[in-house]
Amino acid sequence: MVRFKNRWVLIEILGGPVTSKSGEEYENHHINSITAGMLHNTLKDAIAANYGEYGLGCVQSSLNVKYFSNHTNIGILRVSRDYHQMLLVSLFFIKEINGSPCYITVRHIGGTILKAQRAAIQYDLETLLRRQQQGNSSLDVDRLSRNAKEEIMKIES
Amino acid sequence: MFYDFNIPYPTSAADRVGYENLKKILVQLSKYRRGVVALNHTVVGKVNASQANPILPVEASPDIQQLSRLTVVADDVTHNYGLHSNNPTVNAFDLLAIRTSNEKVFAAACSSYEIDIISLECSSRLPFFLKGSTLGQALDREVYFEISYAAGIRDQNARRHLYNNAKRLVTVTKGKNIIFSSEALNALEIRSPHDLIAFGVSIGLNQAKAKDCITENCRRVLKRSETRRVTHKAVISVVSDKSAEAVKKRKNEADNSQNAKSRKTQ
Repeated sequence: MVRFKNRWVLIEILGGPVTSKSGEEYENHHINSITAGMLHNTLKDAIAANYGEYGLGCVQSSLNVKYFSNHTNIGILRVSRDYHQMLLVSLFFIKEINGSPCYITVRHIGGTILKAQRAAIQYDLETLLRRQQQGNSSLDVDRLSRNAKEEIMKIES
Repeated sequence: MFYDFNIPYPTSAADRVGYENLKKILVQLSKYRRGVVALNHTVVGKVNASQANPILPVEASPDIQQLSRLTVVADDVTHNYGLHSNNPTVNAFDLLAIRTSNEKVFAAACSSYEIDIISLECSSRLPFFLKGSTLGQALDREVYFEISYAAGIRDQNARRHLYNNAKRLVTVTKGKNIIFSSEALNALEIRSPHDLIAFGVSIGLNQAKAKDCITENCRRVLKRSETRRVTHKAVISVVSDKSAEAVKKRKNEADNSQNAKSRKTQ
């Protein structure tokens, strides 16, 4: 009996560069309105656009948004290993989510959930700190990163 | 190191929006470690010897090295486009590329033109077949083929042509002598090197070759353009006093450290 294998993909959604509040430097626009459901729909649409019904059928049962944080726009996706290339290509060609222009970068791909979780926690903290530095001083980094950590570690395959 | 050899440069100096976009693109690129970027100026038809290089470096992060590139759009094989190393305009640019929709020009570019990059129009159907015999000559001469992906992100139809052209190119060249570049018109069309490797795998390259397309191959293009521009018949180059001194100094230092080492061992 062969185990069903997955790929865990850590992604980050980023908006285009805009001038920061201080005026001089550029920073990536943070899109507030994305939810896990929206992301899931966008992914399905993208796979349908690139690979058609066949592609959608291949990944539909395994594709899942396991975690998504609104504060950092970092998410963990799970997809069956056989078809993860389809997901990566679809991510490459995504240019907007629900009408707001953005792009998606893959931060980590792995076969075990633990590595994805660790990477997610690290990127989460880094992004929160960066956002705080860029003028969102009202951001409660301690609390948010603690919550994110708890939520991420709760994920099970 | 990360390379992107096709960032369009605004055609008129008054184009404020274009410059703003260009700045944003460079900001976007500077996120991916150190990078080398070529700003592209396109000329349709003959390159006059009296034209100056209009590209000025854009204010950007010091991690990004900015080069200039000239793309000549050529469609007539009997026409003299002035692509030789005696043309001062051609030599003013760091890279020289050609883009064509004519099979004869394409064959001539593969076999004899003194250029670095053959840029394939990826957003529309190529009007000719890519033949192994023609492309083989380009491979022998170390001329590189460019695939630009941004049009495919912008438009679904263009994506189909992008895959069609890219796959054909990969099959015929066996994955050699290909470089990826963006040709991005805004910052959102820039993709990170890791995502580009995934794209490379999807057009039939393997991981290592896909990585070469954005690193090693691009470095080779730079070396090639150097031998084309600064050397006499690709044999001799003249080094200015300053760099000669630097080389001498480095050599002395190396000698000294070696002496010190040998003294220690004695």
